Amino acid sequence: MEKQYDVVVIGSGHAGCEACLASARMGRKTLLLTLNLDSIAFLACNPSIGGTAKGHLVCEIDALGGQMGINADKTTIQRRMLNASKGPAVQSLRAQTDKILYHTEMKKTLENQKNLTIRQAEASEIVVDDGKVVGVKTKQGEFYDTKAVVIATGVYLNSKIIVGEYTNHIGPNGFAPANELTKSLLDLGITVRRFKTGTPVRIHADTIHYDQLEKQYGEDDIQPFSFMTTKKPKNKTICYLTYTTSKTHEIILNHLDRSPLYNGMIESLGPRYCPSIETKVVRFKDKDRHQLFLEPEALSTKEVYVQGLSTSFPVDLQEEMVHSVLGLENAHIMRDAYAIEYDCIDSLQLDASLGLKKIKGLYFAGQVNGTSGYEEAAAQGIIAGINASRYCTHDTPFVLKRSDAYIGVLIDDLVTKGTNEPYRMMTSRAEYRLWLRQDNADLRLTQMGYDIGLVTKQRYKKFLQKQAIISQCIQTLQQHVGPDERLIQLLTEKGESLPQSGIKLADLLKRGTIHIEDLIKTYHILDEVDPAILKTVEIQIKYEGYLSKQEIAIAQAKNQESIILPDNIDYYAIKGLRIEAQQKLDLIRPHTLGQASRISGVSPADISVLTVYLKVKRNQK
Amino acid sequence: MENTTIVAIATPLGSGGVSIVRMSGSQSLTIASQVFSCKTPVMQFHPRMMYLGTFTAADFQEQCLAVYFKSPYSYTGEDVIEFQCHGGRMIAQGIVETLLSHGAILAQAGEFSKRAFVNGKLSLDQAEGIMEMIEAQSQSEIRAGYQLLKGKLQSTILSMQNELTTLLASIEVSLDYPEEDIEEETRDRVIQKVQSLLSSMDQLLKTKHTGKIIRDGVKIALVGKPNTGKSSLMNALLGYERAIVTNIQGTTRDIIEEYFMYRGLKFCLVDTAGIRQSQDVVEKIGIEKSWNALSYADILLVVLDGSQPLTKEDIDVLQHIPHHQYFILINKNDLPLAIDEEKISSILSLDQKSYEEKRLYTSATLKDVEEIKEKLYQVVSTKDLEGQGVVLTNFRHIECLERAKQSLEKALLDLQQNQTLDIVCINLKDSWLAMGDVTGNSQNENIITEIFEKFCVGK
Repeated sequence: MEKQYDVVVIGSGHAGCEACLASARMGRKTLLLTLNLDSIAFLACNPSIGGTAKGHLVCEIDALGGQMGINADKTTIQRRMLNASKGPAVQSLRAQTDKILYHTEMKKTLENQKNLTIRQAEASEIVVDDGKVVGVKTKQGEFYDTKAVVIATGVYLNSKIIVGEYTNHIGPNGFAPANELTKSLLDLGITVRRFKTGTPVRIHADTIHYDQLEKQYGEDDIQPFSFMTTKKPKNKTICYLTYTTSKTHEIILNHLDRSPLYNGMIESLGPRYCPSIETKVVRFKDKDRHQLFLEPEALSTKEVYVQGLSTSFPVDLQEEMVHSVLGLENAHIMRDAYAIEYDCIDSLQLDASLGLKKIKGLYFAGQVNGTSGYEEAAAQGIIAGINASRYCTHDTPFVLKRSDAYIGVLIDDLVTKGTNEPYRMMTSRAEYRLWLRQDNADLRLTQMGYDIGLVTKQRYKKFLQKQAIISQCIQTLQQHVGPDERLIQLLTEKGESLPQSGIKLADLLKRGTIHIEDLIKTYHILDEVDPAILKTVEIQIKYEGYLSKQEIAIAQAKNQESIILPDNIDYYAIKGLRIEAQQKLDLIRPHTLGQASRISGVSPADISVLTVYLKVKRNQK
Repeated sequence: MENTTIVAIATPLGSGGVSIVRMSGSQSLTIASQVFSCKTPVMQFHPRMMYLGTFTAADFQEQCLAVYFKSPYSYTGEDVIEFQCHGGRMIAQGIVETLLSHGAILAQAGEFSKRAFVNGKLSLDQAEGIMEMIEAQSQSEIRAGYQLLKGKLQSTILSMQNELTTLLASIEVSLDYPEEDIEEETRDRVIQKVQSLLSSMDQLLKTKHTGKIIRDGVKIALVGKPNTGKSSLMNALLGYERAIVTNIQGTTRDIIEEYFMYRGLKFCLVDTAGIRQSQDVVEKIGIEKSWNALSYADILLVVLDGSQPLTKEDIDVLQHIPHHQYFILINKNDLPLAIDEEKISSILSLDQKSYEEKRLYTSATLKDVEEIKEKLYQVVSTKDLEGQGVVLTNFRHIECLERAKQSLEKALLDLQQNQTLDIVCINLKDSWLAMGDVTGNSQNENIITEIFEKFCVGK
C-alpha cells in the first residue's frame, strides 16, 4: 500500500468525513484512518440532523461543497421546519434520518471519492519534526508520510462509558476506544481535558403503547438541506411525544446515591444544554413532568430512540424509570443509556484555521475540540479539511468571519473564548442572526467555496442562475403599480391603508401583512419562480432596514477583523497594556484585532494600545 | 480609517475664557452644518479660515467661531471642525451634547491622539507616550466611573440590564428551543416589560440635570445693569480678586466663570456684563451673553443698587427673569436705601412674604456672603438633591443610556407593529449592549448562561 499522502484524517465521524472529502475534492492525496469502517458517519446519539442553528450549519456546509446536507436529504425519514412562525432569522430544518442508511450512504460516497484512500487502523502517534507534522504511526505498526494531519477522533480518546456502578473503557456503542493517541498529544505539549456526554436508552417499537401518545408528523412542503437536492425528501415515519410522570421523578430522587453524576463517580464536565434526566429533575424541582420524544432509529429496525431520557443510572433503575413513563409501561430496553467520558483538547490552542498554533500542519476538528453535535463537528471538519489542503499548497488559511456564517461564529468562539463544556451552536450566539439564514447560505458562501476549489462547476452554475433570478425578481418588484382596483382590493382585504398615488411593489411588500404570494396572485408576476427563491427575495426586501443595519455593523467590525496580529508579538513588552490583557493575549495569541477584542479581559483601551503598537511596527519596517 | 465622527472638549476644564470643542471624522462638516449657521454655509467652508456664526444648542444659542481643517491637514488627519466658544465649560458642554445628538459620538480617552497617530500625523517617539496616556486616561475614567457607579447607581443600571437579560433569555430560549415544554413569552408580556424598563430608564435619565449639577457645579449668574457691584460680589463670593472692579460702567465686557465650593457642593459663578443699551460693539456682544446667561443659569442673582432708585434698565432685567430660581440682591446696603421695593415685588408679581424670601440686603461683607451661599445651598439641596439616591453624573453614562433607551423604543415599535421576535431581539440586544457599555457586562455568554439557569432545556 502507498505510504505517502498530503493529508491524513484520523477518525471517520462527521468531522472526519467532511475533512477527508474536502481535502480529496480539493485535489490532495488523502488517507482516512478509522478504528472501524462500520463506524463511518455513525449517528451515535439521536437519529436526526439539523435543528435550531444546527440546520443553519448543515446548509452552510452544503453551500461550501460539503456532504452532510446531501447525505441527510438522501436518508431523511421525517422532517420539520422549526420556528416556522417565529421569524425569518431562526427557521431551522430538522430531519429524522435513517441511521443505518446515513452510515452506508456516506460510506459509499467516501469509497467513490477520487484521491481518497480509506484504511481501518488505529493511529497511535503523530510524528513531528522541527515543529511540522511529518507522519502518522499506527498501533498496527504502519507509518504514513504526510504533510498535514486532521485529528477528528470524536469521543474515542481514552473513552470510558458509565452505567451506574458499571464502567468500561470502550467507545460509543461498544466500538473500540483509542487509548494511545492522547499520550502522543501530551508528548507534543498539547493541553488535554476531559469532557462528558451521554445518550438515552433505545427501546423496541413493538413494546410501546402508541395509542396513549401524541403523534408528531413531518411536513412535506419545506426546503431540503442541500441546494443540490432537487426532489424534496418524503416523510416516511411518525414520531411520538410522551412525558415523565411523578413516579419517574420519585425513582430518580430516591436513588441519587446510585447516580454517578451525584455520587462523585463522574467529575468531568457535561453540557448544560444536554442534561441527563436526573439533572433536570434535581435542578427543576417545580416541573412536574418532562417531555420525551420517541424517534425511530431507522426504517429497517424496531429500535426507538427516547429523546430526553439521557442517564447514567444503573440498568435496573433505567428499567424502572422507563416503565414509569406514559406509554412505556411495558417497553423493552434494547440498548442501555450511558454516560461517556473522553479526552479532548483545549480549543484555545488552535487558530481560526483550526490548526494547532505551535505545530504546523496539525489540525483538529469535532468533539475532540470540545464541541457537541454532529453538525458542529461536520462544520469544523470541512474547515479543517480545507485548511489542511491549503497548507499543503502553501495557500493562506480559509477563515470564515462571524458575519459570514455560523461556522465562523462557532470557530471564533472556540479559538478566542474557549469552552468549559461541550459547545453547542445556538442562534443566540450569532450577532448577525438576520443575515445568517438558512435560505441564503449559498448566497453567503458558495462563491467562496468555488474560489477555493471545493464547490463543483455544476453547483456553481446552479448558484449563478439563482443569483440571476434573484436580481430579476428584485428588479420586477421595483415597478410601480397604480391605485387601481386590484391594489384597492388587495389592501382592503389585508386591512392596510390605501396609498394616495401609485406605489412600488417592493414598498408594498414591506407592509406587515403583505406577502410575496399576495403580489403574485394580484399582479400575475413572478409566478414561475421557485418558491424557495421567492422566500429569499421576500426576506431581503421586507427586512431591508434591519439587514442594512446589520450590514453597517458588519462593515464596522470588518475594520478590526482585517488587522492581523503577527504571531511573534511580545505582549509583555507592549507598554500601556494592562497585565490581565497581556496575560490573556499571550495565552490565546489572537490572529486579528477583532479576535483580540472578543477576549474577556481585553478592554477597548487595550485594543487602542494595540492599534498604535501595530502602526509603530509597520512604520519601523 | 475609522468611520465614526468623534467629539470632545479639547481645552482644559474649569478655567479659561475660551473653550474649544473639537470634532473629527468624515461626518464633521455634515454634522456642523446642522447646528452652525453663518454667512458662508458650513459645507462651503474654506479650510483653516475662521468663521463667526451662531451655534444652536437645545437650550441656548451661542455666537462662536468655527474653523475647518480638511483631511489630511488636521491634527487627527481626518476632517476636523473646531468651535471656539465663550463662557467656559457649560457652553462647551452644551455644544458637545448638541453634536452628539446629531450623530457624533463621544471621543474615548486619547482617541484624537490615537487617530492622529494612526493617520501618520504624530511621530514614532510620541507613540509610546500615547499608548500610556490612553491607558492612564481610561484607568482614571474607570476609577471615576467606578466611583460613580459604586453603590446605588451601579445597582440601578445593573438591575435594569439584568431585567433585560432575563427578558432576552426568555425570548431566546423560545427561539433556540422551540420544541421544549416551556411557557412562552406572549407579545403583550414582552411589551409590558419593555415599557416598564423604558419608564425606569426615563426616570434615571431625568437625574441628568442633578448629575450635571454635581459634576459641573450649580450655575449661578450675577446679572443686572452696569455698576451695581456684581464684580465686587463675585470677588467676595470667591474670596479672592478675580474680576476687575472699577466705578466705570461696562468694565466687565465678557463672561467670567469661576468655581467655589460650599458645604461640599460645587458652584459655578458667572459674572456677566452689565445690561444696558450700548453702542460699543464689544460691549454689545458681552451684553447679549448676559441675556443668554439669564436662561441657562440654574439660579440667578439679580443685583440691584439699593442706593439708587430703580432705572429702566433694572426694570428691563426684572421683567426678563425667566424662571423661579432667583434672588434679588439689594446691594450697597451700606448706603442709604433709595430703591422702591414695592415696585420690584409688583414687577415680579410676588406678595410681600415671597418677595422677602427672595430678597437679600448685602454690602458684600463676609457675613453677607455666607448668607448668600447658605441660601443658594438651601435651594439646591431641597430642589435638586433631596431624595435623589441615584444620580447620573458621568457624561459617557448618560450617552450610553440614551442609546439604550433609543434602541428600546425601537424594539417597542417593532413589537407594536407585530414584527417577529427574532426581529425584536435585534433592537433589544442593541439596548442591552449599550447598557453593557456602562456596566461592563457585554458578554453574550451571560444571556446564554441565563437561559440555562432559568429554563430546563435540552434533550
